[in-house]
Amino acid sequence: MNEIPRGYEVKKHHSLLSRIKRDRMLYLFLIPAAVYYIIFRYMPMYYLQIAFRNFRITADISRASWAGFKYFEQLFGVQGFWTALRNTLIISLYKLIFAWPFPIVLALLLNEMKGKTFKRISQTLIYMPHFVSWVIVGGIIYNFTEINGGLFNKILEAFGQKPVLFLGTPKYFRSILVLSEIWKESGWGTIIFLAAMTRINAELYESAVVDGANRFRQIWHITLPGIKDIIVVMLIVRLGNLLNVGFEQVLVMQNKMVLEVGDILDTFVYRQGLLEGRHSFATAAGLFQSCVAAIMIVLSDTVSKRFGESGLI
Amino acid sequence: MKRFLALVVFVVMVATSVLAVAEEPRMYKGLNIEKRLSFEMVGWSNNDLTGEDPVYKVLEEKLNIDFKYTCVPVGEYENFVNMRIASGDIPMMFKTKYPDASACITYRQLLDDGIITNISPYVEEYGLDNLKARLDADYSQPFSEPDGFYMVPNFLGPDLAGMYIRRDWMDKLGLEDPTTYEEYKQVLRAIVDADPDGNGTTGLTLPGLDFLKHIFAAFTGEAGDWVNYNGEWTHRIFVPGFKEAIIYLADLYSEGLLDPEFVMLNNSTAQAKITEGKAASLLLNGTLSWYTSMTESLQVYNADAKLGFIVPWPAGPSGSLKESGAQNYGAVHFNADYSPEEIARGLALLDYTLSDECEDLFFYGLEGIHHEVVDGKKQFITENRRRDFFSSTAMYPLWDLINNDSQWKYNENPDMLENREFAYVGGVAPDVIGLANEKTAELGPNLTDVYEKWVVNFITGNADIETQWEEFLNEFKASGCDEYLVEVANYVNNK
Repeated sequence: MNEIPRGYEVKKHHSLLSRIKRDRMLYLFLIPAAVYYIIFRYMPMYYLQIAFRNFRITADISRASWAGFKYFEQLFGVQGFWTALRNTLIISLYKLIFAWPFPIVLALLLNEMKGKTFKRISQTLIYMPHFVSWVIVGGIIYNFTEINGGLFNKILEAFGQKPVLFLGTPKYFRSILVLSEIWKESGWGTIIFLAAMTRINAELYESAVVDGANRFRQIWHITLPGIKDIIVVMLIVRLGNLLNVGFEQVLVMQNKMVLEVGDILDTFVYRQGLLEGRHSFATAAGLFQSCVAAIMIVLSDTVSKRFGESGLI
Repeated sequence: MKRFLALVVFVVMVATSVLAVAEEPRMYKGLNIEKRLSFEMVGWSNNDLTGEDPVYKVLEEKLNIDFKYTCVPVGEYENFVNMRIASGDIPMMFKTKYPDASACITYRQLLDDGIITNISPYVEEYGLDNLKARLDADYSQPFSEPDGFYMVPNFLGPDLAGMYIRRDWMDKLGLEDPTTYEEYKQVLRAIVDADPDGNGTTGLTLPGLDFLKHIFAAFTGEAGDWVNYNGEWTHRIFVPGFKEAIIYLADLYSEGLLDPEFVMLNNSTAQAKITEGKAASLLLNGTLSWYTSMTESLQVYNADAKLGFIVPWPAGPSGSLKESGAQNYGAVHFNADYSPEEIARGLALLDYTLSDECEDLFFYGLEGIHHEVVDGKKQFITENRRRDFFSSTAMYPLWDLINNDSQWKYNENPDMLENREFAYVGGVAPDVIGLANEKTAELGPNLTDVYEKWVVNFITGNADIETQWEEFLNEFKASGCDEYLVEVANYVNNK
């Protein structure tokens, strides 16, 4: 039997069972989340077969005849689908470019605040819109942009301009979606970045001050690198949701005048699938979106790893 | 001896009759309701009913039942009932939004899979005459199957769409009710120009495109999307007069007489336009609850303001017409898995809701709780009535199970009665009601998208009616119009 040289330690191989036994309290904490995912995420996958069957809600799924790719063909064969897909991608990219970085900027600004009371009040105020439903936000936006008496049109009229039908004009519609998203969700989005900033060692800032770094340099060289991993993770998650641009938001603001630029996949499927009782068609569309999301997550994760980040998977 | 015998006979007779009375089963018409039964019904309403409700208690005692009514908000109803059906947890009685397209498909599946029961034999067997009258009525026939009824349709009465007008503005400007759409345009022009309240009022407003069908009826003489024109099935866009209607609406829009926001309005935002003095006229339902709530809101805005209807509606090239609509919306079905005894009791409950006695109960509530009788007249106890009637200005929530039209016998408002009367005189009924199958579900939404896109663009001036009309018709045809017409013809022929 060979002897182990001095200074070397034997790396013990722990079986799964022994690891569970050792970390049983940690695994205990994992149970609720695991149960949630099993019940609400994995078990429903059984019903994905609805997309490939002529499903009837009155009969057991196993009794429904197979339809092959019939519902996918119907989905891809409708002009409205491609319009909705184009709009979804455009609106999603707009939100990615303009709305997604906003919480990071806001978190950096909050992090720089010195007055604790003012900071807390500011945080509370910017978190609040998150708790307002899109239906209410839609109503507020309608009131603000109303052609007769809306605030924005009053301002325009005060400057001698003609009133504008903001929500009914295609060229404004996507911008309104992005701006309202920023107003409603940016504050809430700062939480995760602020939490990440608390991990940064305060001594780094003190050293930077000694080295003569101003506030901007401190943000650039300490804060941003300190939260880079979280930014990457959030970006991967966001890219995974590229085809989910906010069903409720678009549904409450959309109207027939802006359908060409504002009809997204979710509202298209709602209108053409669910309202017509076409469950197989709607499931096929949902499966398509999920597949795209999965591909996007894997792709963005691979790219982030190529750039030396830890990734998500 | 004779006396003794007479006494014996008398005693026997009294005893027999007492026993007979004691053994007389508790009946509702021809149905024995001796045994107390429990069952559930699922329907839509924005509030939940509980056993604590006093009117509800009366119904339970009347029919000897423990009745659970699960109310789901109307916007969530379809998902809810579909979930119950798909999971096999189907209540004994449940409503569908028949003849909405998706509800028609669900109904057909329920029927084909034997999940719902034929109620006609029960109605006959137990002498449920109120239900029988409902099912025998002409307006119920589109909802029957060859072997009877698998639903109790909710009777709405005629389509009560009203052409609301600010009556006080008309009076102030000395304007007469328009008799044609040209005159209607002049009335709108006069009001918009005068702007009586200084709000920059628009002319006509309405929630989206749906209510335009009433104007189309006056221009085409037809009702509904799919029409039998000169013996041939077609879509209304191909009927002469439709293009003229679009030209008329486009003119209104370009001249600032049609609300530029109408496409994006819903019922409440459209109502707000007229109750805040920002519109002269409104196309919307003329039901009691809407008329009352709008009148109240308008009074808050301006105590001198007055709302009215234009009746008869202005005449178009085809006359003074509007669409009368489907007279039924929503239906109650019975789960075939339940025993005949339970199904019969559920039907008895519906039969009772159609009686005069129950209609009074649903309108006035209970004496001492919802109303008191003063000098022979029933006066509402507003607070309790609002509590138990969910603040409804109309009737008790269960009233709309199957009998939406019954409120009218209590209505004394001449404006509203006149508008309702016109629906019978000038209403054009659609040729096709309740058509929905897998093929129409596939084609219908595309056709609707094409139709709505072009109609909106024409009216708002984003497309040119003269040069692009043919393009519109061709795109509509290419989106499955002919295939849909085959379905229409098959459906009507089979009916």
